[in-house]
Amino acid sequence: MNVLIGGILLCICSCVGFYVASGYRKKLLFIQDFKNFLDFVETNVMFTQDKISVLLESKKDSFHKEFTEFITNYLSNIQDVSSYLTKYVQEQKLLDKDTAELIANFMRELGRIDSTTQLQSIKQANEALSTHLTRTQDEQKKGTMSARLGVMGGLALFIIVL
Amino acid sequence: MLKDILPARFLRALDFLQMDKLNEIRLRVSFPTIVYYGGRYFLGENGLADSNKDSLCATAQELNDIVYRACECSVYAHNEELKQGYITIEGGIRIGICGEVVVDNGIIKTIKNFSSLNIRIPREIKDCSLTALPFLHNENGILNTLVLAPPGAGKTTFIRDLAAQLSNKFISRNLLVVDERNEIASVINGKPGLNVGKYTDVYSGADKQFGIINGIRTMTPDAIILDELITSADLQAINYIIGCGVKVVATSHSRDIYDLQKKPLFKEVLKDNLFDRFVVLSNRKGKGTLEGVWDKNYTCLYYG
Repeated sequence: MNVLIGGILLCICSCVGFYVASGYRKKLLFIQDFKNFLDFVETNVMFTQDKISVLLESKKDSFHKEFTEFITNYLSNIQDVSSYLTKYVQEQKLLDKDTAELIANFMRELGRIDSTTQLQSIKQANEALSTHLTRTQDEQKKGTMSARLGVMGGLALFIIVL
Repeated sequence: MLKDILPARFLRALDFLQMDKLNEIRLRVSFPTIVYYGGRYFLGENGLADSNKDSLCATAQELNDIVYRACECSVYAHNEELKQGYITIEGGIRIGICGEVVVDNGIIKTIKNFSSLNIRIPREIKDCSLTALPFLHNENGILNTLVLAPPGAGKTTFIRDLAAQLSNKFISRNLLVVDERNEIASVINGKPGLNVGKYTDVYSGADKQFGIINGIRTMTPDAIILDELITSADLQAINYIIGCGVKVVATSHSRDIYDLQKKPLFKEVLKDNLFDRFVVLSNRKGKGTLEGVWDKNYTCLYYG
């Protein structure tokens, strides 16, 4: 009986640890995807000048789940992007508020400005994003620690129960 | 099309109108909207309005949204057109744009903070060039022709139909349309949205010089059709075309030949007798009224 209870506690602690870690991982992947997206848009604005919808459609499946979802929703709300992005920031669970606002501000003016200004906007967003990326990479270490702590804590409880 | 770019309240107002009669919509920030609907009228909530008090007034945000949607949410992809003050959308609808011109080191970068838009809806008037057609070719083929009319009198409509007529009449001849503003053929994804004939090649979006030089090199046209000669570079391009033994059909803003003679830009062209025919159009009996056809000695061949 004690082994069973200890096993359940080990599983619960490990799951909590991994869940916390996966949150940090998703956040990092989202920001990395956004960074890749900025590079992709920059190249296209400079050379092919394809329309935003064409760019996003062609690229959206090469990102991770969360960013693909964001892009898909952006595309379906493209005629009224501003309200969608305001709601997106308000209901944000994955990203920090300032990161979400940075992304929303960029997406809000994406396609609304001429090519020179658009390239400047991409450059600025890229620069600003590097701080957020570094911060998230540091947080990711915390995530790894959480997963480890979860397993270790679970094991400790398992031993205590035994 | 219009339903994709106009704000909902303007679309609701336009629902009261017959779209095939609508020629132009003029929107100005905070001022009454005007439509050309067989005459000049205010646009109100329920269609045409009697006075400017009942007219819809556009906001700056609405004008920005119209341009954004007309650019398919990608203004940067239309920057070259925007710099010249217009955007052409599907169906050959041309949106003329006024606003703050951004200049950097003497070079126009873009236009921003749009203050007014002029949305022109092209109309295909089938066979509108038929009356003039017999005068615009001889046994050797098409003659160098200049179509003259004031703005909005149907020059583009006329040369579009002329392209279709010539293409069908001279199947063995190659026709090339240099459609700088994408208004003549309105090519979308390689397919002309408006009829310019089955045997006509179209260069769309390219400036006249590029279209002409590359067109002559690669498409070996017998005749080139182009719209609105405005700059001296355009006239040099005409000289080049005729020098290459290729015939040309072009248009210019002028009320008649006498108005044209007053333009310093055209003095050399007229002196050199580059054009064999002059077609004059007006709005007298509606858009595209044929006033007459003159030869290079200004002898009237047809009087409308």
